[in-house]
Amino acid sequence: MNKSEPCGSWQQLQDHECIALFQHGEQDAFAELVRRHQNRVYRFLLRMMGCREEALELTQETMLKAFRVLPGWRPDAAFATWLFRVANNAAMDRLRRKKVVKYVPIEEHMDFPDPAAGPDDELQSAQRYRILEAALRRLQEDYRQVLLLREVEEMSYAEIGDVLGLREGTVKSRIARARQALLEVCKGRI
Amino acid sequence: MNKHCKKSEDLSAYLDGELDEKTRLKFETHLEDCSACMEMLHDLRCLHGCFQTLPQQEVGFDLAPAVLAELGRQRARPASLPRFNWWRLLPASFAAAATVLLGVFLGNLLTGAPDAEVAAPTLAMFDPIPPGGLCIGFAECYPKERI
Repeated sequence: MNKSEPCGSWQQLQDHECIALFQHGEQDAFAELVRRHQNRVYRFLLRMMGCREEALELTQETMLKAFRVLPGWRPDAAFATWLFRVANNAAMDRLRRKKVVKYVPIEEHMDFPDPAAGPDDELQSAQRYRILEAALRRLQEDYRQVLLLREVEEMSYAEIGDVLGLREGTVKSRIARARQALLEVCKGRI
Repeated sequence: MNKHCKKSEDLSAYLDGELDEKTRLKFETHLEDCSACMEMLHDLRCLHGCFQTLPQQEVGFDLAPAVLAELGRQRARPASLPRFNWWRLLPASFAAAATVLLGVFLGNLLTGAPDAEVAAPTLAMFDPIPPGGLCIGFAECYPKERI
């Protein structure tokens, strides 16, 4: 969870220390929190929404919400976990409004890049991640959420449960089903 | 995950290091005898490796100034106009209505007598013979339709 990205003299501080400074009127501490988490939140939203502009907009929305909430913040939960919860809710709201929360059957014919197209390792690697990105887009949103949080953000089951408001047992079974679905989709392609 | 083994949830959690000690040991014993689970574990490890190759996209600029500027814009926006309180007009409305009613009442009081019939002399001016004119005959002076 603590994948901090360095920035200026504030980089030595932990999230909770930045929050405490911000609560005492230090706006630079908030700027540091934004810089520290913006890319992780953005990447998650980009893969949820599939659109750079929307991901950027929702990342900004998430940070604005943080600014409003932080003055009364109590360190009950990790700030990063809370940010992901806000980002995830924003993404799901947007997807629901657009009515694109769809459940595509995994048997559906897939239009994947040809894995045999690249002769070098680099090209093969690029092909593999394109296949994976395409497969992720085909997954239903609740499976995509848990896989991104687990495999990309490397969150524990407890943290994922905190982000999604689920019990650990539910997270465990959902991740297992999501992996099964993803393997079915990618079968023989990666 | 595995159509032939009911331990798929444990397999996934095992990969993530989320099994407690007792369950993990039990599952490892199962794993030694279950080729299907071993195969699936290999696939899941491949999948995990593939996730590691995903590009690390970045915002590409410092979002903090943009967020702070947006906050400044939101603060600068004029607050919405306060809603007009129509109840404040109630006393003035009553006063206006009372004044109009009082005016009507007083007006009635002063001109309250029923309209008297127009006296005959007043109508004389409409006679066909102008005042001071000579009347040739009785019948001339009083046309039939007026009798």
